[in-house]
Amino acid sequence: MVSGPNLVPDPSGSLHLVTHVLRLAALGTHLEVKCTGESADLLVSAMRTAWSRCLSTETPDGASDTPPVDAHLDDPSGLTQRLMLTTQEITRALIGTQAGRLLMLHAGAVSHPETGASLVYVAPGGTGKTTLSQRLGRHLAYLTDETVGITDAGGILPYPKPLSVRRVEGTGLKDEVSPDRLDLVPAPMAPQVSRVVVLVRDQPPGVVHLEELTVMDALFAVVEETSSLSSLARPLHRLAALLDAAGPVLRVRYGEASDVESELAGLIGGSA
Amino acid sequence: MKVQRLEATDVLTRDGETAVLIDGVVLRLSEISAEIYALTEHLVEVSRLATDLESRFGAPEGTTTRQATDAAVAELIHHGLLRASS
Repeated sequence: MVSGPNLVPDPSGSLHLVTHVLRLAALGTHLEVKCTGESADLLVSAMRTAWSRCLSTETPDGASDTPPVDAHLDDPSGLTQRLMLTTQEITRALIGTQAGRLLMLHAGAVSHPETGASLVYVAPGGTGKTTLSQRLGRHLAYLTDETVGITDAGGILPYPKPLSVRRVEGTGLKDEVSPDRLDLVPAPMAPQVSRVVVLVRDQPPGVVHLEELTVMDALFAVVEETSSLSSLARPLHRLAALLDAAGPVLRVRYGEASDVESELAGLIGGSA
Repeated sequence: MKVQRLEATDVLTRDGETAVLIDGVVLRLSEISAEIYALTEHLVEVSRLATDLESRFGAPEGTTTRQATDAAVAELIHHGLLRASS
């Protein structure tokens, strides 16, 4: 899970002290995070806490095909920002590795803990995926609040990253909070996409509009929130097949997460 | 003028609508634009396209078939789906 100090060359070729290597398993692949710097102990401890659902106890047989992520921290006051940026770098690295393999949506997802039936809620950043994940994940299994990776067969490869919770004071900083700390339900063995909804947060509190989309309308609503779509074989056909299978796709226009929580949970046979 | 389509990553048609993924962008084509795209695998004279479109869809209202074809072709060129060759 965490190895001790060793020396590796940094990009300039000089030797740099790597205090800890954190191994993660997520989105169907493995990745190493190399924590360095004067506050590396603090950093790796915070990383282990935040990434508790992704810590890997396995030693990969061969080299990981995901390039390692470097996380450097000298000044302890920069911890929150370092964690936030490292989360983004990890997500980019995982997406890069799975490009051409998985259909990847910028979305949150929860799953029925017994049936594995899963709800995927597609939305741009800042429109409520994390808040909904936090609320839905108290009764349904938390799969991710950021990137849903879907196999050819419609299976979801969980990415139970820390939830990136925006601070209220508007600094732009997000706290990386472990799903364990939030008591979110762990992912089931084999989550499958069951329903897809497109979230639009443009209503006043208490107002919800649900609209069924045709497959073509759904495709255009979802396609902007895909990653590396062009790397897949016959990408539009693959996306349309998913939307067919998980239809009818709903556009959910809402104001507050509490307004739609029950409705969304009900789509996969859950309750909120 | 002759035109020829540029190869898309993927083309999907559903219920009379067509989506084209090209250069990482997905475009939604009308039925007429989709027909032009389908007819331009090889270099084709725009006048020939106009004839084929009129036989397929009939004459447009309020304009000539050639003007309507020119406008649709210009839009497809603008979005990078067709290239023109004089």
